[in-house]
Amino acid sequence: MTSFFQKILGRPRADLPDWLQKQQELSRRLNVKEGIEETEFVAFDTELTGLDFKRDAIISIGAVKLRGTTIYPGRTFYRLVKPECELKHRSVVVHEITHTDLECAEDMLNVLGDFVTFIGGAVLIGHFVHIDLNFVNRPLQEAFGVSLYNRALDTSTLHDWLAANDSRFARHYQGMTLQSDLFSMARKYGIDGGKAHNAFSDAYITAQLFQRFVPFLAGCGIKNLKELLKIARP
Amino acid sequence: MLQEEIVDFLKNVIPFNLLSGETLGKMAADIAMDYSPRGEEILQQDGPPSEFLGIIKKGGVKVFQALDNDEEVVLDLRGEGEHFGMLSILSGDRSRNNVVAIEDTICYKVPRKTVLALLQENHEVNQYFIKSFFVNLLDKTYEETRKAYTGGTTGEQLLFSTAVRDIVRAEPRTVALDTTIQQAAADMAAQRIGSLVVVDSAGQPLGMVTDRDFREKVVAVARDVAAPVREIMSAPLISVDAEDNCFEALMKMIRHRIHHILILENGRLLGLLTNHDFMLLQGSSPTVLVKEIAHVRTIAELQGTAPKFYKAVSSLLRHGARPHNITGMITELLEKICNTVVDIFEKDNGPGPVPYSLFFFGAGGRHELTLSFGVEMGIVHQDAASPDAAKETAAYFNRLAETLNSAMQNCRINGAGQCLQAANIRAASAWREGFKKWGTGAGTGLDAGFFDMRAVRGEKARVDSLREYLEKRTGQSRGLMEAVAAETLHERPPLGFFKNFVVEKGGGHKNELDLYRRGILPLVGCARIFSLAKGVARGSTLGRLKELTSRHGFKVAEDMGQAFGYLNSQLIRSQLHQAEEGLTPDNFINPYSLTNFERKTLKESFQLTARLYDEIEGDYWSGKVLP
Repeated sequence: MTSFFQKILGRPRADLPDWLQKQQELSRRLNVKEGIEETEFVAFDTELTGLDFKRDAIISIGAVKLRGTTIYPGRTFYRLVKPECELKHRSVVVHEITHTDLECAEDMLNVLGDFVTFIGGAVLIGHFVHIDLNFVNRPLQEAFGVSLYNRALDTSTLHDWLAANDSRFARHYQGMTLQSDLFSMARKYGIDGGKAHNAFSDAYITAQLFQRFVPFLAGCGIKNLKELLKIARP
Repeated sequence: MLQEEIVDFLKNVIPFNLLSGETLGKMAADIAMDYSPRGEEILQQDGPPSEFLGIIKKGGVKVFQALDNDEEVVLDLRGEGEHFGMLSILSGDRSRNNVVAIEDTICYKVPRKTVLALLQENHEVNQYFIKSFFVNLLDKTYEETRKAYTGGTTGEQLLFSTAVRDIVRAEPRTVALDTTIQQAAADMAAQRIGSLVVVDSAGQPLGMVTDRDFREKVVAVARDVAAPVREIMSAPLISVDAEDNCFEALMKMIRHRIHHILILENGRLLGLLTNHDFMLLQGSSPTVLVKEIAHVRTIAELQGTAPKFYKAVSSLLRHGARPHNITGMITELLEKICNTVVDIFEKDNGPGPVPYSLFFFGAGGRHELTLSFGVEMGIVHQDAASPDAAKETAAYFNRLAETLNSAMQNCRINGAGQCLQAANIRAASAWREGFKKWGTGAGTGLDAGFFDMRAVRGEKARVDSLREYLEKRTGQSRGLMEAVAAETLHERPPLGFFKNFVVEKGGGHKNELDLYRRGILPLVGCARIFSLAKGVARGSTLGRLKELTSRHGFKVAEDMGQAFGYLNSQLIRSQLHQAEEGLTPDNFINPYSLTNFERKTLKESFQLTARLYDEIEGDYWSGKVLP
């Protein structure tokens, strides 16, 4: 019962570690009337042991900062997390992260703390971002009973919206892809994702997808963050 | 991670390659990365100064200035590894130029502060930027154009000095003749390429298929994809030799409206060049302007084409073009324009009542038009079947001539007179009759320019056979040969031995010299006479001279070539100067505006002509025959 109330009300402020406390205040101050070009974004991606929300967990988090559509390669984040559950064989093949790699990885909460500090009050960008958000929020919920307050937008939703609403976009790129996975899109829109397939390179690709899409929004009347959040809702 | 990528990239970019890895690493930490879709404005003329130096990672931008009359002056095209925005970083007050992405462009942005610090700390980088700027600024003035040209070593001459073999990258992918369309498309998709060369079983290239062929010949007409690729390939192949320079390859691509061209070496397939390769080569503005002019579609669009020619030529000069490259381009573009006009005319009036060919003669026929244009054209058509039909035919061609003349007038590229005169529209038989009279006395309308006639539209053979007829007759009839010599000799070189120049005595061009009529044309005439005598059948003066040297051991021909090139470059530069002053370029130069050195060279050219005249007088002209 207590935990139920805790979930609804959140824990008292004092209980939250400094990094979480600060972050919660920052994100609440977000001004959604701001132009897209003035907004701070963080494109991020996580690699998971699997997609089962109950059993699987984060292996790594990668993120890169943007202001508007400008990517800042100097402001990046990439960390490995010590898994709370067994690595599954399949995910090892995909990510090429093995147990040896993870031995030097850190505790989930440490990494999350740094990640939360890194993102600050920025708007999060992800490809199918709800999955990543769930996996980030679960440990935060378990430990502190709070979730990230950051607003988030989804590049796949944004893409679908452009496909449906902006013929100039499709014309510019000579058609669009119907496959919504990150790599098909990267290929279609001429994004070089680098050789690695890890959380960081995927975050970088996501950031570049965002770069490809946003310039077309002004022509559709999407001028500020509020409108952007509406059409790119996770 | 990303910073390493930036450092790796900058290591290959001048002048950052001069910096240590450590410095680059520090720099990379400040760099941002941006994306601009094709068409997006990155910097705006007279807008706030750039906050960053843009280094293009992928794609390309156009740097241009907008004039008060809404015209655009393209200053440069910049491609991968090149930069923009430096001028306004240094000045700090405003952006000097518009910068617009012409492809989807990814660029690294180095913040102003970082750039300034770098300039302060690193002497070599500083030198590089200061120098490249200085050069750029001066480039815009005509004086510098001249220096860059005569100096000839500015390092910006890639387009003309680079052989295509040097920029061919990979061997093109090939596909066998009998492959199905579907398989070919699948191959292209799998290899992510836009074209395939179709080869026979022996590996000889026969044709080509590009994305466009699939679009136009398969999808648009719902062709069966199981059909062999042979059915949709574009043939014959358009190719250039590996030793040709890039400009020639580019001209061919423009002429044939193609985006890919094959490079052959001794008939063997060496590689493939695409538009993109030229962008990579240097992205020079001449190509942009050349393309712009080449793509005119309506007569109205032709209005005010002349200034575009001036810009293109000025830019070509800056990039080290030789005079024959420039005259070649001007002629080529005029051909394009004429064809466009006739296309439009035929759309409105239907095709000609009888088959016909349009040809250029004189300078246009030789690919030697300058900025004073003055193209001369003629039409040779099949005989009409009946007197009534003949009347109708005449009316049709009169309308065509009117349209052509007024269109040329409209874009102010007609030169002084009418391009297509009524007297030059004849049936093949009538032309022959006219030519037959030549050399039999005065007043036969002999014009040696017809020896240079070249079809620009319609069946080529119709024009070639007429020209060959003329050439053959010259061989048979001493009278005709003498008449041609007489016509050439009629215009004396404007120079008595070591005396002052002879200049025009009155009229609008008092004290000026018609460089074309009195300097270039005599050389052209001499080359033509020697060629006729030796049976050299080349279309251009330089071509004739080259063959005279190589096949007939004509030593003087080399000198003639040099003089011809010099006079042409002098003329073109003078014309550009006139254009810059807002005048209509003509063939007149003021010898007193030349430097001593230029005057001396000019004199020498004329002296050479005088010697040639002596020779011709001795060998080909008895003094009795009049033109």
